[in-house]
Amino acid sequence: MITFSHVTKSYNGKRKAVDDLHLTVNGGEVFGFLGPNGAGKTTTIKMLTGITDIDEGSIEINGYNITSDSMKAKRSFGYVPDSPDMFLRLKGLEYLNFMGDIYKVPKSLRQERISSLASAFDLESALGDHIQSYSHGMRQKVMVMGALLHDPDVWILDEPLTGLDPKAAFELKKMMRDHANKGKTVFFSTHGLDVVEKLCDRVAIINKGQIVLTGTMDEIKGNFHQDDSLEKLFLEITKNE
Amino acid sequence: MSNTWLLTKLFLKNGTSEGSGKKANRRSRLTAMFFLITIGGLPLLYFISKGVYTTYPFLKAMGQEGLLTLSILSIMTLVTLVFGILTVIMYFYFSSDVEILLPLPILPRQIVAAKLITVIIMQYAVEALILLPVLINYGVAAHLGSSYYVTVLILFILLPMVPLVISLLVTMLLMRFINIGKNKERIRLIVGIFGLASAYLMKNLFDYLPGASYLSNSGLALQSSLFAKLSSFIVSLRFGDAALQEAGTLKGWLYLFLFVAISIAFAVLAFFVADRLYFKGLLGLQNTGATRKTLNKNELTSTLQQRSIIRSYFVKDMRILLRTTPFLLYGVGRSLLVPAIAVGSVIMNYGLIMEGNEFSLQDVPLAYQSLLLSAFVFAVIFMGTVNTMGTTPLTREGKNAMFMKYIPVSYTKQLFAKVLPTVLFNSLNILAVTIIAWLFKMPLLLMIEGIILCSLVIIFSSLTGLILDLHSPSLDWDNEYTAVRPGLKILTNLALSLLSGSFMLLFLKVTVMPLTAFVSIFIVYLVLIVLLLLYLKVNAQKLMHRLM
Repeated sequence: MITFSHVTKSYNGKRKAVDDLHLTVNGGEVFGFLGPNGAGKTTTIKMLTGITDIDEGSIEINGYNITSDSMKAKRSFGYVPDSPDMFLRLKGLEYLNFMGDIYKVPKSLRQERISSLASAFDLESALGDHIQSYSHGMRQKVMVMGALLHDPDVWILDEPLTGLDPKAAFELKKMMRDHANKGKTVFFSTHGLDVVEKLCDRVAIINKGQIVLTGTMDEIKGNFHQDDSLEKLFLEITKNE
Repeated sequence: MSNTWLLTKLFLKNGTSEGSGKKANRRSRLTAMFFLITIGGLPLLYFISKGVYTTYPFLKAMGQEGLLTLSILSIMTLVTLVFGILTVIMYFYFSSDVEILLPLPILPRQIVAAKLITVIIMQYAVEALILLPVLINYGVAAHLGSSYYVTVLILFILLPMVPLVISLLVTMLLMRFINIGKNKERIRLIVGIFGLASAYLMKNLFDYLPGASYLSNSGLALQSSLFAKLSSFIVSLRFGDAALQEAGTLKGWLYLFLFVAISIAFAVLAFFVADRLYFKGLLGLQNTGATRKTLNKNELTSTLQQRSIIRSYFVKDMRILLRTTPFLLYGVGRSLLVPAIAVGSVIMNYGLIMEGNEFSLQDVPLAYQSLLLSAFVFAVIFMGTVNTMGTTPLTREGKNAMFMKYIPVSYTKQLFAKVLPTVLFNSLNILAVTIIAWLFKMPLLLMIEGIILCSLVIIFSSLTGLILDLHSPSLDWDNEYTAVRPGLKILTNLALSLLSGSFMLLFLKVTVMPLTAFVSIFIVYLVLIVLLLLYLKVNAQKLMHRLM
């Protein structure tokens, strides 16, 4: 479970990147976080993961405050950043082993999880190579594997489907659904509106730092014309005033 | 504007950002760094001035005052040659910006020219610290007129050209032939080893070259013969030195003209060769080989080792250091090269130094033993702080630094792990100085005391380097060379280490007893280290939060 309580963040003390964000993401939900470029999605995720500090308000992950109880909060989530170009000089397996050490995953368990994740993402033959030799999609896959290695309760994924091939995208979406079905939380940002329509239990749309709409797909559509596509709703909600 | 100038401006802009963050904060950090460098650099300037003023009358009496200018020009040229190879390999071949430049409609000579100008401009910082003070003090001591200073200015601007072009030509030629295999990882390793080996050989090459000694005086023969050989090998150097000696006369202007003409001719030659060889050596170099072989259960089990967080972090950092060519050459390479050159030079010239006088430190009187101890420690301070390994542990992470903020490991623990590679590599300097001390038969007890003190010095300078980097990291680099090239931080760290060393001199003034000096210096460094650790513990969170 994730709780944002009146969270505000501004840059240079002037422009508010996120303004009074108040939101709860429950266990058992796949939650889609939508918004146009520069709306405040990445800033929100950076505050959520402890990368950026919060000016006002607070964020709790599974009951742990990301500012005051940061170690416990960080241990309870797995995070996939928006750019997978990390640790390019390490081999895939070395990176995963490093993540296993960081999250203290026992050796037998990490071997089992790496094997099953590598099989799901079709990455078995690449784990012995340097990440630098991977395509964008393969890098994304290995980052997802690293984030899920310690089987965290909360998944925080920043545009996780970008660059994935259809099979890997299908696998990841299935894994997200299965994880939520176990009563756990998946919070992800995306620009893929069709994915949101098919996968998400609830959605929030952020624009100019403020949440402009939250709810299930049915609730959102109920506020507008029932027959409109999410794309049309999104464009209408986020159009420049 | 021509492509060359556009590229030069871009490279300089990318390569000269010292830290990120708000403009006002950056300005105050830079002011603080300049202040520290000035304070720490004052003793250096004092020693240079005193050295020139003391040596000048002595050499003049022998009619050999020209040795002063020849020495400094030779030293600068040699340093540029030795480290030029590493810089050229990294900056011209293994910097990631070449991947962006390759598809653009830019000629090879334009890229090479822009990169060459950038490297030369960066070289001015080193020249300003060493070459200028010597030449200016020489001019003052010899009461020389304005034409001498005009010559100095032109030499200052063009001196790095010829040695850098030599390094560039050698590298372009070799890269053309090395870069034909498919295994790019192996090529990278070969190039890395080649770079280190050639830098080392370049230093020792002149010991084997034939050349007349400028002096017959035995005390100066060793140095002068090296410089004479160097100036016979690099002709522009001889003309540059002659231009200084004959400054103001027609002959002087002629020599200066020849110096300028040779420097320009070398640049033109580099551009000519670049058009033919540069891209051929470059194409495909950034690719990484991959086997795509599924690991069997045994291979998987042997790779998946469970380690403590600090050990795992250390292993990860070491792998990145050793596998990233610019980090390998500039960080690791320099930390290996400096002690290797020091030990190599002493061993090669050992016979000459010992000849006749059976020089030994065994019987140094008690009064001088503390001084010897401090020389031991100062040698390690100098050698250990001239590589960029210590001042870039965070900068090297680049955008990966974000990772440090979302994993469940305390910042203190992560930062501690990041200091370990610096401590490890800088410890090689202790080994080098110990070997030299052993060769000169330094008393065993004094040597052990030196090793203990140097261990503390290495920890101290690694921590100050980390703190400097933490205050002013340059994380926005798009080019690994930029991350490890020498900058203000390295000078600031050297200044801090020298300042800590000046405490040592204070104790030497008070006591001549080596044991008392040892205990006092030990306590001072221990206290300083504890204070730095406390500083990190208290401020790590705040400083890390300012990143990104």
